[in-house]
Amino acid sequence: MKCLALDSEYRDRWIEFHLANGTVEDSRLKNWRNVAWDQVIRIVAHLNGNTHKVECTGKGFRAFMNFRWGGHEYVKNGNGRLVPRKISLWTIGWTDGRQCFLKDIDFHTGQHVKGYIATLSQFMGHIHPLVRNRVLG
Amino acid sequence: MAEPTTRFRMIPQASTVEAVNTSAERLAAIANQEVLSTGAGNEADFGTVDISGGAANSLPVTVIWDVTDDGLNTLVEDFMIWMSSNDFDIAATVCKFQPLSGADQGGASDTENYIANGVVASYTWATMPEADPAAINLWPTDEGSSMVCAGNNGAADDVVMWAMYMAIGALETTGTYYGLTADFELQFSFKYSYS
Repeated sequence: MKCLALDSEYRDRWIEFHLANGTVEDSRLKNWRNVAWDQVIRIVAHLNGNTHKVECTGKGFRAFMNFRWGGHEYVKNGNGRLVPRKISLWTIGWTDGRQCFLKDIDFHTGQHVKGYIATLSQFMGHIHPLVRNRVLG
Repeated sequence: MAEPTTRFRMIPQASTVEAVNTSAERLAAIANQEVLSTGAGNEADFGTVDISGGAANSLPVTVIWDVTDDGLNTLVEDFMIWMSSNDFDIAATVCKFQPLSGADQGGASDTENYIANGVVASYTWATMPEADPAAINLWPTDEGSSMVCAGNNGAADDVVMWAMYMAIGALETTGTYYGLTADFELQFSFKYSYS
């Protein structure tokens, strides 16, 4: 059996997955891959005192998306000079089976970085197995 | 979901086709590989490009990115590379790149099979973007959009490999372009998603 990551390793950073039956799953206790994803009706991310919510009310909603970004980049500092920065983003959102409606949240600050629309084909691996048919059908 | 631990390696251009023609070989240590980092002396070095006679190219380098500890995640995907803002002055100065696969990828389309002792003429090249491309532009060697992790603090099941070289425009400002050197900055950015 796979041992999967939990957010219990982080301080003040976790995601709640609200199910239709009222159950609230917590990413500090259960990896999202083990959540009844076909029952999730709301995602609430808590990062460093900030709360970000995604509902299932979008037009054509089929499923929620939940993944993260890593890597490194260079950004300009206040003096206009480039400085290296680690990429550490949490992404939550939803898909209508064709496009994803996503929001990136800065892991360190907990602040909303940007909202954007991207094609689902970019994120096929992040579709939860329990909703794969619903999303792609 | 802890972020995976990853690494960049540069392999000699003389590496044999057989050294990278299976995922097991690509994941294992490749003879004379260099692990890259932003630390001094650990950069991918394009060498010296002589533009005294006009525009000229560096030799290509071959780079491999892989996951050495999946952080208990099950998948990585959306591999993107770009040349961060840099201090080149001539528009014609660009980085060219080409995703690569091993010989085990027959009928390559998103990649091209690795060629030993590859030179600029060996591959088809695209210009590397100079901002986050917002869409995958590097592929695993099986040309899937993602690589599977076992979720047990192990490696992903394959690597991302590419070749790149610098095309230096005529009349480019001469000097050593390196890291965060004032007026001669040169860096690359890389991102990927995981879950």
